[in-house]
Amino acid sequence: MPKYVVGAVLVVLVIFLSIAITIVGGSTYMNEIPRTQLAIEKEKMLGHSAWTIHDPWMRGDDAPTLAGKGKKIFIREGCWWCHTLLPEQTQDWAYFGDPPVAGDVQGEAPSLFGSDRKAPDLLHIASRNRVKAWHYVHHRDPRAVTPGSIMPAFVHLTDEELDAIIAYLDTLK
Amino acid sequence: MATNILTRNDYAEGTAAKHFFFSSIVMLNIGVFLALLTSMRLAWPDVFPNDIPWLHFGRIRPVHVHFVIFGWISMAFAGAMCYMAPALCKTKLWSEKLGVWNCWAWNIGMVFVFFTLINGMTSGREYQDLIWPLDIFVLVFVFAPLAVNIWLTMLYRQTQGLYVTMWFFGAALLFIILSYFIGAVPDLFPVTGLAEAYMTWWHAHNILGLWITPVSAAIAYYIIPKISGNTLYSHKIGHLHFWSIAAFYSTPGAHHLMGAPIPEWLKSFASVSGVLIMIPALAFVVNMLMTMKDKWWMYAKNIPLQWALTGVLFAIPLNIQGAFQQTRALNWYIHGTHWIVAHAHLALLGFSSFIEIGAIYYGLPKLLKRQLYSEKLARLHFWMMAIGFLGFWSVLTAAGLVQGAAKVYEIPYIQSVIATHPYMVGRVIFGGMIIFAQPIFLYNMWMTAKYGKKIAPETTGGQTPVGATA
Repeated sequence: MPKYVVGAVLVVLVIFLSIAITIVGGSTYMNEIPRTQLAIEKEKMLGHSAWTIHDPWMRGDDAPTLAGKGKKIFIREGCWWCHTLLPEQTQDWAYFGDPPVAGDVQGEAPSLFGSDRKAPDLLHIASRNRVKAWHYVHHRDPRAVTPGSIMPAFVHLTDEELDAIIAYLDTLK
Repeated sequence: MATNILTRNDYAEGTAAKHFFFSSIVMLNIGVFLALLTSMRLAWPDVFPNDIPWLHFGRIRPVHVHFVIFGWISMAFAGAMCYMAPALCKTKLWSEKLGVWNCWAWNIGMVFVFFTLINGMTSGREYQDLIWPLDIFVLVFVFAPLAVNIWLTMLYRQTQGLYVTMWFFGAALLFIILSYFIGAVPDLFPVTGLAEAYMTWWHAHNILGLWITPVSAAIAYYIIPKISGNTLYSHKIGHLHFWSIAAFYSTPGAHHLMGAPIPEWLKSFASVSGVLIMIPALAFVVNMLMTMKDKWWMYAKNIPLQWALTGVLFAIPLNIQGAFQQTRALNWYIHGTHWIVAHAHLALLGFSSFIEIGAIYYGLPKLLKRQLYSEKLARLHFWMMAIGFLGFWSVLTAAGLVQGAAKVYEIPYIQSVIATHPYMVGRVIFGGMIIFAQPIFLYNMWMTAKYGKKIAPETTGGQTPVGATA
């Protein structure tokens, strides 16, 4: 057998083995995790909230609830580039609350854990702050209520869109 | 060689590589300009009119990421492949036509990427932000034609063995197609929750581990022996590098989800293989630095070599950071902070981009059969980028440590935002140096194409690095 065939077969074997262990093993294991009550509620409320093959338009019109539309706007405006939905380990939990348990995110896509935190974690924002008026002002003019904030002022969002975002934040208990 | 519509009456040799190199430089300029806008937003949040959604941080950030990864770095890779693969296989590129069409499809794809992401049409998954039709576009019109072209060039080669660079080119093209497909799975199939997050991050990591890192290394394997005139220090170490990348670099995706409720065994698996990344990293760096034996004076003299070697040197801190920051002992402190942003820029801007810019300074004048228009401008480009990058990296790393400390001491979050403001201003200043260096690069290459002094074509086809067939 020519050497390059041996080489190519070995490369393919190594890469497929790693995919088999990590992707297939990991995903199968994770798909079998039972959904918690929270996950069942969230699936009804939010559904698939981003542009997937099931849900071709990002406008939010076909989202099941106001909160579902809010999640779409949360994704569209890139809120998740700074606001994570995953409290970090140890001390962070004291301030931002418990991390999700494995069953909590099942059935939801995208999961929006985030990776790059430049703003407070929002996983439990509704437990900390449910004042709608505060959220309205904060989205239109963040520095009016939080001096020193670097959040963009979302003056281009309509009142309906803000309602939707605030409804979404209200689901994050 | 069988002839077909793609290989009959083909364009002149090097056409595809020239297209890719010039496109990549344009994409680099767009990508870094967007970075300037986002970094200014972080330093002064009201610096641009707030009623224009296109100028918001959340809209520009993914466009910046996609333009530098898929526009600049990947296109520079394609250019390097179209230039180096024929030289190393002592043959012509299988189809220059396919290469040129591939380049235009790629550019059109980047236009789609720009207008979808800037309008907020996104899948909401990092590094896999594109909507599903564009995922399919990228696989079918961007990576697949490039892979076919390079693989067929390898198949029709006139050499007996394959040089290290070619192993990496051939394998990385397979890796990126597989990785990109797995990353797109949650867009195309009903995959949700943890499995969705895991596939996203598996792909996000492997864009770096199985595409950007190996191809950058492959380019260094070509230009460093070629310019220095030394044979590659060790083919055996090259083998070690190649196989350890394939084995260890493909599995640590879960280290991005250390705080998420994914299975513990997967986290441990990722962490251990993450530390084992030190093996390919050390193999690569040692091989390159030993190849420079007795030729270190060229580091200061030769422009492409200066870029490529600086990239190799950046690989040392990059991989030490990369190996250890993903272990649980360190990850909880720095995860999600500016430290990680600094690390990502060390990989893409420090290590990878320096090597690709070296490849362009080396390859493009040769393809154009002209001398570089201005060495002075090339040096200015280098120093602006080197100083700018080192400053940028230091500032962000420090800011990351501030954020990490803020986490530990449980101070109100807004305090850490206020505390990192000076660093964000530093980021604009040092980032600005990097950004304003790139138009100089574009200008220099454009003038090289127009007015560079013509050089006689090489009489022999001796483009292969010394010892390449060993």
